[in-house]
Amino acid sequence: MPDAARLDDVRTTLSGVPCLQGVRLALEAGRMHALVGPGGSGKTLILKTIATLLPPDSGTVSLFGEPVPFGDEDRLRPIRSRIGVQFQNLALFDFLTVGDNVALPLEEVSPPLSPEERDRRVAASLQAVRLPGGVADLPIQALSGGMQRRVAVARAAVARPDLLLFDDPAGGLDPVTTSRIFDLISREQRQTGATVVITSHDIPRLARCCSRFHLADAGTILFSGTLEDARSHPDPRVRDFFQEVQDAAR
Amino acid sequence: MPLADSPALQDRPASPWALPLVLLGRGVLNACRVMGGMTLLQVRILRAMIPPTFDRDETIRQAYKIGVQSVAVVTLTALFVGGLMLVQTGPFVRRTGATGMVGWGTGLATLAEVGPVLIGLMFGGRVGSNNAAELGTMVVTEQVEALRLLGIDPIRYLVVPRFLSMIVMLVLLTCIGDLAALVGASVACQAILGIEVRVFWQGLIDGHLLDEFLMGLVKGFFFGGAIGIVSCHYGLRVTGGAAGVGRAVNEAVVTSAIAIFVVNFLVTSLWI
Repeated sequence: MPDAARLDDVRTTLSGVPCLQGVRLALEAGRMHALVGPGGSGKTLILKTIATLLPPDSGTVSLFGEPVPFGDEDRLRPIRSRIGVQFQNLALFDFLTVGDNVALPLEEVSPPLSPEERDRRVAASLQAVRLPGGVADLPIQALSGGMQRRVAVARAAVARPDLLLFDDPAGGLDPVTTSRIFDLISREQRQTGATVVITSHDIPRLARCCSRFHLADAGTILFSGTLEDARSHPDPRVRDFFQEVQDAAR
Repeated sequence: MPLADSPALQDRPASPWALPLVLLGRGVLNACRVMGGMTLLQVRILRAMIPPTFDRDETIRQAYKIGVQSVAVVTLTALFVGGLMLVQTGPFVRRTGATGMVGWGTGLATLAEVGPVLIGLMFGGRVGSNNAAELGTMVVTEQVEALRLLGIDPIRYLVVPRFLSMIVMLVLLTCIGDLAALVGASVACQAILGIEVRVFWQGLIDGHLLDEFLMGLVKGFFFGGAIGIVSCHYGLRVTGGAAGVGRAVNEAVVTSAIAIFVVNFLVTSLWI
């Protein structure tokens, strides 16, 4: 199967600090990928690069088999319409209602949706993340942190993108809600066949839904493969990371 | 990295002229960067307005927040500004007995200069700071990036409605503020100088101050545009979380105030 995203020797410097230092990553289409690594290893920057929001200083980024034309907003628009992102900070608009937040990705869908179809898609998306239909008219601030995360997940998936990126979708949530969110993402992937990338520190839960793991460390990708490959990897840093997070989880 | 901050420049041997020159160079480079950024933003705003496909609901929402919610504070400020103008001119009027001139003198200063400038400063402090903080928070919480990813141009969706609302609302607020200032002045005229309110308004009408009133509105138009550009510029270039938002608000308020005085000088010079 072709790669949904491919990063070749991607290097990025922010405020004079080298952040990504030769990232090589291939995301096989139609699979669930886990992007893991210690804090500050560059996971969020890698996701933003894949999301076409962070142009690299050097290296190439390809999405859906085509190189990404960074800097050309007109050519980026159709590529971005195939990507859904749940940001680490959720990035929900507090001046919009829950329903309007979820409906936002549908505004630029071509051909344009009728208001009825848009409302139906929003309601279905909220239902998929187990939020009652009544919340659509509420302001974002009226929801709890867990519910806001579910709204962010719903917004990322509502336009049925080919590539879904989740940046710490369960950060700061209780174990029950965390499990629910991971289940929701898994179900969404099974239904749509989209390529999904999740960053999280919750390796046991990732292991239940992701078939590929990518370990980021100091701005590079140290390892890509299955969890079994990681456990028998010759590099002790890879073995130790997965062992330590699993020990901590127990 | 800015040239003035480069290690090569920092490591040069110290000479008596080095520090002032470095500071001067750094200041010039920063000023050029800010001016360049604002000019680019202005061009992007104009480009986003052709064709005029900006968000109507967001523009109305901003106009309400920026304009309607500022009416009380502008009216209150203007009332006292008008009164103050009268307090300042009172001794001169008493000395010369030129009671018929008091309405004209106060109106001239209020409509052409003091009214628009003080209302602009009040507007910059209230609306400009709020706008920079709001946009800065949206940058920090990745909302602006989310818009870009959703294929929505942040300039068209966020900046254009704010920019247009600020221009239209500051012109309207200048009208309201002018009226409130003249009411304040006429009340002070009666209370402090004992001159009838009717005499004050008659002097104002006889003064034929339409030109000054229009100049004040033109100033309001350009002040609104300047505050819009400045506050959006600083809001959109926030980096570094809450501290960055605080810095942006501070810079937006200070630069708006400077822009108001510069624009005031230019408009007055060109008008007269």
